Amino acid sequence: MAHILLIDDDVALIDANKLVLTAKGHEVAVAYTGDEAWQALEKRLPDLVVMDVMMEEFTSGFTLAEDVHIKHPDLPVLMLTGVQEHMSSDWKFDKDKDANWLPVCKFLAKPITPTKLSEEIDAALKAAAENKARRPR
Amino acid sequence: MSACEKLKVIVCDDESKMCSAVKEILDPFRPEVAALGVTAEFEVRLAATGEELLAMMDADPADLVLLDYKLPGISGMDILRRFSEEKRDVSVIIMTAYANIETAIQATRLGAFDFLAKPYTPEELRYTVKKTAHHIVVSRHARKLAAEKRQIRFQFISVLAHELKAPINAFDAYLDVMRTMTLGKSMEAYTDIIAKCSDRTDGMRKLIADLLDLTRIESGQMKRQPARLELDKALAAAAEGVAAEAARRGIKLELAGAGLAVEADPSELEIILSNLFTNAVKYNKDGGAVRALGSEAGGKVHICVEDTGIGLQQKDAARLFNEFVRIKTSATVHIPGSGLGLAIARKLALQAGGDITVASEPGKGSRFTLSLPSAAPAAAIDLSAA
Repeated sequence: MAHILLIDDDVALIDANKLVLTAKGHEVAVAYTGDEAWQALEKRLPDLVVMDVMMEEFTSGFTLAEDVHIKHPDLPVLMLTGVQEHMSSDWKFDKDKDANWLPVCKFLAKPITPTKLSEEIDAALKAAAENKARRPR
Repeated sequence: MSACEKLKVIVCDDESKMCSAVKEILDPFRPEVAALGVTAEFEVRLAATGEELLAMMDADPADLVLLDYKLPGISGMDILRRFSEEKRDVSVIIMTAYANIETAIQATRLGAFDFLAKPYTPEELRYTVKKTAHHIVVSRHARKLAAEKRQIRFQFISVLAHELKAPINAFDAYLDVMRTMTLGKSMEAYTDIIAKCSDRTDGMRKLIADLLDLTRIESGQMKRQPARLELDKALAAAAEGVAAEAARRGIKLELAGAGLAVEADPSELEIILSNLFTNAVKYNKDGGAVRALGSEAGGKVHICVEDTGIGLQQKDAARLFNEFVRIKTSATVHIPGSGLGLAIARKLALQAGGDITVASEPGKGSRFTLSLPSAAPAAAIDLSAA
């Protein structure tokens, strides 16, 4: 089983996801802010990160994902987003296109049930393990 | 010095002398649009035929066209018709030596803004152009304002949608936990998450109530009935609202407002004070204190509501009164709130002729100061009533 870091500013979402992931045998660390995320990453490097795109500032999930990638390029990140294209003309957002520039394994649209999220986590962990095995040493 | 608004002008007349004369008058002309504190300035180009004018309009559209009624090729009326069919954003002044009521009516029907009868004096030209420039500048500003307003409204609704979706997402997530019986088959295992769901419904209800308050304030539909309100009574009522929560967390409440009275609407003062007191308890430390202290200076009563809580950074203090601003840190993420309370409180305070400001130090606490007009002494009111 894996060590997973959940980053979200919604206490209830973290709580529900943690309940389900723990029941499935994962170890779960949580962070509600960008600062807490960095502290958690330094304390123990997780196998996978799940983060929300909207944190304290509207788009800080983007910068956090980029910064995490610079420091830990092999760490798989799943990004949750409730941002829809029609929401604001200022931050146009294209999930498929932005997945290319943002170092994220996959964008998951909110709402996502903890059960579904847990399936996505398993799939991402599997893909990350296969990538690692394929890479020349 | 007032701001300058540049207007592009094309003068279209087959008499080249006429064209240059108009240009000579308009080039240095700087009429003022007093209502907006703006001065108009003209960039004048010349066209000898209707065809030339249309080509120029396609290449670089003008805001204002001075158009001769009788042109050799395509006529002035045909050009007006074209402009209105193409829904061009241009104001046209028709110039004609054949001024009669029929041509004027026809031109106006086709969308001409004004009419100049040849021969006209430089003064008449300036007068008509000034009137038209005023119209152009004012409608330009109105359009810009309307666009800004739409944008603000759009942002507000986007954030509101996000705030409304968050609790629903939380319910969905908890329902999933229950449906999959993640915590086992005993109902008791779910007591905690059921309580958390209830907290979120409470939060959502508060958000909706706040939204309605905000809408009422902004629509001006809240009937204000200002009265003389004694501060110590108002403070006591607000303190009562938070007394249970304060006692539970060992937070002391100290009030001092005796002998002071404000001029305010009772229900508005209640909303403002209740917001300040709720925050002072919510963002306090267990075992802390809330002090509400009234004082009077310069015709205003100043009510300081001070807490010994988490405080906030200077940069956050500046935006604290904006709608949906919640300062999210590790210390606040577990504290529920609609993000509208202080926006509402400040709007109400401003409406009542007062204001709310904040001074804060992270880790030490915050001091919110509500200022409201002092009420006339009770004795004076008694005299006038007698």
